[in-house]
Amino acid sequence: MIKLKVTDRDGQKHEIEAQEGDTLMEALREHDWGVSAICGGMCSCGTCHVYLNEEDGGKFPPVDIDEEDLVDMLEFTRESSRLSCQLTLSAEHNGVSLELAPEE
Amino acid sequence: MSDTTVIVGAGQAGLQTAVSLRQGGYAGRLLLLGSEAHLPYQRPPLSKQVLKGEFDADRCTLRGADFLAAQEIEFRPHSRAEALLSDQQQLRLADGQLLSYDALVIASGARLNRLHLPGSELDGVFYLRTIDDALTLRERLQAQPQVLIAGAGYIGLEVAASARALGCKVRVVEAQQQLMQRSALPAIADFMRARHEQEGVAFHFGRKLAAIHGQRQVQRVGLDDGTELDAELVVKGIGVRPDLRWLEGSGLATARGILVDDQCRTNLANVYAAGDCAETQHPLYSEPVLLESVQNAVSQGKTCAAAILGQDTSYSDVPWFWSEQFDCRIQLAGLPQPQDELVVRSDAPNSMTVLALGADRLHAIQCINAPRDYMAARKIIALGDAIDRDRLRNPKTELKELL
Repeated sequence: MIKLKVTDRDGQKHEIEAQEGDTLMEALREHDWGVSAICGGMCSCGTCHVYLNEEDGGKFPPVDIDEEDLVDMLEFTRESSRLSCQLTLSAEHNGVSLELAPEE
Repeated sequence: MSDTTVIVGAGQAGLQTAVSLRQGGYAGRLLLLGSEAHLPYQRPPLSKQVLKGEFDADRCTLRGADFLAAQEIEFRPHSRAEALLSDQQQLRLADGQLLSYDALVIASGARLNRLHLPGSELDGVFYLRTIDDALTLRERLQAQPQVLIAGAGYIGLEVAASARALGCKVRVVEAQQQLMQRSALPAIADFMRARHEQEGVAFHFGRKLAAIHGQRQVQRVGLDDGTELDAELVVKGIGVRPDLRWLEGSGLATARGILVDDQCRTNLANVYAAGDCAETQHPLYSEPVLLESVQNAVSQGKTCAAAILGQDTSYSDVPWFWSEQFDCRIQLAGLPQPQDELVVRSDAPNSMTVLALGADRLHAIQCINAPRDYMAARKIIALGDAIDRDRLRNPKTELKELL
């Protein structure tokens, strides 16, 4: 079990537990304030969009071309945007903090 | 406000209705009836990640027992609705139990089209709809049998790609002359046919299965032109249709599916329908649409919840779908119309974009490995603004520029 700090769309802060080997999207989907992740992790819809700070973002593999193409087209894209379905969690992600992007 | 909402079906539409009702502050009792043994789960990975062994069953679960308990959603597995007694606002379950409702949401999905042939009872004949189907099929595919798939729709083709990835020999028999005949535009279908053939899938178009032969196990399949093909495993992927049998005599208006308006309301008071079983009067289309997709299920689930909560709502989302076969992500948005002009663009290897242009606006996009085009076109379709056809036809125009 690892712990993550999440700021939801209303600015509320939550500390959640997640399973190593799951994607970040799967950990976030479990909460009523979480992401809807309509396509289930296929990098197809952009409904699991999050913002990671630079330091924590560096703990995940870089954005690949599919994710970049999709993120580029979203409404609320920032430098720190990621699709949480593309981020697999491991022990080194304990303590990562992130913010949910507004729903499209 | 209603006191008890009963939701028939614990798939994407049913679960979403329940989640959205609670998010919207619904304080009544919430019953979510699932016909299977499992917690609500997503089906798209079944034909892909599950078959290939990349996902185990738990990974498909949409919401865990803890979540449902915390949200006070009473989830009942093994619960099949048998009759709707709308005069009494009651539902009868297969075990005879009567449930009273103040609001009823029918999200019972679709059932498989069955193909009854001589030999259908043999060991090695499969359908794929539930997670149990997928787990059994996965086990059998490990032995790399010769696979014959009936139907070149999405399920058939995704199973074909998964079986090839596992090293199986794969043949696909399709009654039509084209892949994904019902929804894919010809250029997309032809592109995918070539990809499948490159990957070693053999197609038999314009043919149907006539019989399955074998002693106890499947050994051969006979086609309607007399061709005999060796096969150790047969997967029937010939589509689904809404399960309406249990609603006969209930007074509920149905056609291909349960007829609903843009608020997911049926003709009966306090009865709503959502997802694969709903045939929807959609503001974007003149004829009612029957959409089998996750997007439709989730959006209509939200719409049902809003309608039950008495909120002003109208379901007008542009329909969208996706599929994955080999290294191709196919994405579709909108519905092409018969008179549309089709523009095919391709500016990268292993990628294609097809636009369906109406007289004054973009109706649909279908693309392969072109997420940038897809996201832009989805927005253009949703805006519904007049389009500059010349610019859309020009492959140098980035769709994003047209927003």
